[in-house]
Amino acid sequence: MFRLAYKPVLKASVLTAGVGACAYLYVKPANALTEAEHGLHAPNYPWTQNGLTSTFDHQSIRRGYQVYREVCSTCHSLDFVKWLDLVGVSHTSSEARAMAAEFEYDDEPDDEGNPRKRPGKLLDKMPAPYPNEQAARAANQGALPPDLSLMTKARHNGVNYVFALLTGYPEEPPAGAQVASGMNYNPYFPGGGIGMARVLYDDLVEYEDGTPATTSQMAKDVTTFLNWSASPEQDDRKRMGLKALIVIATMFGLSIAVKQYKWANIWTRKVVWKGPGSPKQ
Amino acid sequence: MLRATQRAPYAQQAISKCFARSFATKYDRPVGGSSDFQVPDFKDDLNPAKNGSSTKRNLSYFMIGSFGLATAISARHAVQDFLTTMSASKDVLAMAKVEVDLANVPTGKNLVVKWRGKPVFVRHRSDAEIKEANSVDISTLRDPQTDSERVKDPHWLVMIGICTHLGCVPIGDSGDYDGWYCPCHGSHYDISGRIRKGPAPTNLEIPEYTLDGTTLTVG
Amino acid sequence: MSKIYNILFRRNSVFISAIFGAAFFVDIGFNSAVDKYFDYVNQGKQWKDIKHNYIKSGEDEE
Repeated sequence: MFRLAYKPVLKASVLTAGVGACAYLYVKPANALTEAEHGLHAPNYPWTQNGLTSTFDHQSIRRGYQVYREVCSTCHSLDFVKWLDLVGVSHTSSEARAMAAEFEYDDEPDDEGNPRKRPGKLLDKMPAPYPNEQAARAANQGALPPDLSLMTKARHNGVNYVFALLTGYPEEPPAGAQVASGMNYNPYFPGGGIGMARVLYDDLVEYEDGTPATTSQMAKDVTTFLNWSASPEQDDRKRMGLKALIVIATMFGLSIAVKQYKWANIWTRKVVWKGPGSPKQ
Repeated sequence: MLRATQRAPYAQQAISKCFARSFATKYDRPVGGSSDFQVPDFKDDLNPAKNGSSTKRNLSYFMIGSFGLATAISARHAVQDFLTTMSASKDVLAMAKVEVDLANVPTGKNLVVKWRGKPVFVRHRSDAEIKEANSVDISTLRDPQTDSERVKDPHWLVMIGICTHLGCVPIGDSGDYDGWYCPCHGSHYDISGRIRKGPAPTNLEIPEYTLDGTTLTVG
Repeated sequence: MSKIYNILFRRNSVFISAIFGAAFFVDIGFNSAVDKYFDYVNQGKQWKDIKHNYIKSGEDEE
């Protein structure tokens, strides 16, 4: 009697406790920090690459590279991108070769062991602005400009965050905001104080394709470029994913039909007992 | 052959027996007691006019066939994608060719280029050197080759700078034949890179290259 | 209907070869159809849509 009575009760209470715990943990958000402390949450911008089947706007990647080269690259490195990667994405092979050749790279030592320099090749990585972390910190009042190759993956709300940060510098910090000296106020940056000052101003670069270089246009282009550098496989992935989804969905439907067919015998089987005790025929 | 409505033989036998007697039999309910369990009626299933039609059969086969088709396509792509991971990657392909501008290599000088991790010797030969390379009686050579077989433009000799004996890198402008000399075991190569003296078995190897004006592309 | 059955499904060898034969053509057709749709949706955005602006005449692609 006891067993019968207590089992369903135990089950029900465990279930209730589980659902309750989940609801407590996930439905009611727990905030350790205020909005100002962890940074304002960036809004969702309508990126052209949003969506299951949307590729990058490669013209925008090309402009974004220009913004990176002329503005960002004075402080930020792009270690995981090679010149080669631009080929067939935003630049032609000869353009990429020419751009690479403008930079000097370490060559193998000559016969006397003296270090030599050579012009860049397609296989070289994007040159870094500082030789090492110490040099970077020394040049930026102790702040380290992070590598941007994977930045849109490395920050919460990636592309939206980068765009909001670049365009989110107010004219002057709001009343009551604490900004240390040498720091700049940006509501999207955790804590509000960021080492980087506002860098994008209207007409800072001159686009070769004639696009008006507004602050938001440059921010959009460079963010698209950084999104590409973080996930260069995105276009192919979406193309492949579309095909895979169609094939797998079709196979799912077909597998149900085939299963029905194969199980028809089992479902419609009638078992008759003909041994002792069965009715006389 | 399979049929969509086929019964297991045992069940079929039992059902036909059941029909032979009449529909109201003791098989209508489970053996040994009363129950509200209703034994299903198989009348329609057993009627060939209503069942086992070729349309339904074809549909079933079509479904199985389409499933096999989709599986075959997926399998092909799985195998192909796996195999493409073994092919040369982009950086290897970019490494595969080396472009060199020969405009500022003076006559009678050597240039060493790295190509796929190997040194490539490029020599800007003078007319006297070309003459010397062509004056050799090739029947006396260990690895008989005329000079014209070894160059595309007689002024430019391009070859892989690895001794064919044991893989050392020969030294230029030296040796008994004014060509290359391998310091490891004393192989002498002439001005066409042919083996003349020493242990090396064959001439210095010639890589794939194209010469377009003063632009040399190795690979 | 039983004609289809007799031609295509009666012999297993015919059935299997038909499946593989059809798979070859369906694969090509499906790929090109999806690619076409994908390029249509992303008109003007991909590199192949803009590269004619940057490739000088007589130059190799990419």
